[in-house]
Amino acid sequence: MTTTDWSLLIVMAAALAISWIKNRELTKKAIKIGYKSFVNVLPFFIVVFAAIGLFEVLISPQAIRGLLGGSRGVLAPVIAAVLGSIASGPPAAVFPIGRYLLDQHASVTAVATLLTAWVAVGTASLPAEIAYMGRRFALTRWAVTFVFSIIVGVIMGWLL
Amino acid sequence: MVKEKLAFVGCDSRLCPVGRGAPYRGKNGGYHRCDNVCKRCGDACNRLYLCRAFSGLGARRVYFKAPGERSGFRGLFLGALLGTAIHGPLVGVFPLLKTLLNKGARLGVVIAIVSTWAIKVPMIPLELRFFGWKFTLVRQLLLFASAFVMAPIMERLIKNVPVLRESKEEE
Repeated sequence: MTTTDWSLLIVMAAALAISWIKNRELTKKAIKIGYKSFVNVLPFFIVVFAAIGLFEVLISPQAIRGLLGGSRGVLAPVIAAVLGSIASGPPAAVFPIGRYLLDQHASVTAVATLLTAWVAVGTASLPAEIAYMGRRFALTRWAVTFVFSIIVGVIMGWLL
Repeated sequence: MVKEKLAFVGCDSRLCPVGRGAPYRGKNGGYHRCDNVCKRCGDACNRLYLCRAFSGLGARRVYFKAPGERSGFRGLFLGALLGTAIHGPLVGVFPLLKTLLNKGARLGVVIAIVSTWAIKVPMIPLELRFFGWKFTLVRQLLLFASAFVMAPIMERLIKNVPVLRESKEEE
């Protein structure tokens, strides 16, 4: 357990305690909702961590560095944006993947782009978006968000 | 006219984006009114997200004005705040966005909502755990700031906004 873990746990426990004192019923409801969300996301987490385990064995750090490392230049965030926009799943699932990639010497730019594209681009919801908002809106938003996820990644790579 | 200046996501029938029904006054005023608006939207997801958004803002009776065409930075800021408060699948937000556009909301406000929707407040502790404070803070700030850049760009790219909106006959 890191300091961040302990800090978050203490903050959460304090928030729950205050909430419990203020309103027990609502706090119980909140705990139930949290538990349900946890149970819902758990299978996906198992898949993600199993996949990370497989990647560790099957894909060498050199391969990841070659694909998403700083030496790739502009191509690294573009590849990350493509991967992030194609993939679909809970946002929580992308964090362990991003951490794994960062540990395997992927660049900050690529990882930040992947995280942003995974959450923001929304290729899976594109058909629904076209149905509701129209083809032009949906495709323009998709393209602009795709480009922006790369820009966010590049700025982060520059700043961090 | 109201439509010209304000589109509204919220709880008062006078500014209701969907219709002008009589306000439903229950004991728990804010939620009932919110519920009333959402039922009119005809989508259970809307109800969920609006109520979540309002409860997230910590107010039982919230007037949330999503400004119209002549709104400036303030409109985008309000849209960005609403987008940050909303969480869940993007699919569930489209009916709300469509309603906003139909009621005269500025396209930029809608774009700001979609842009900052990518900020997942409940996921921030998890991101902190994996990437640390600096990475998380910078990324979240950039995501929030991107709304103010994306909105004008999208407005320029989609000049023919009325096409997005339903005509009065269709309504």
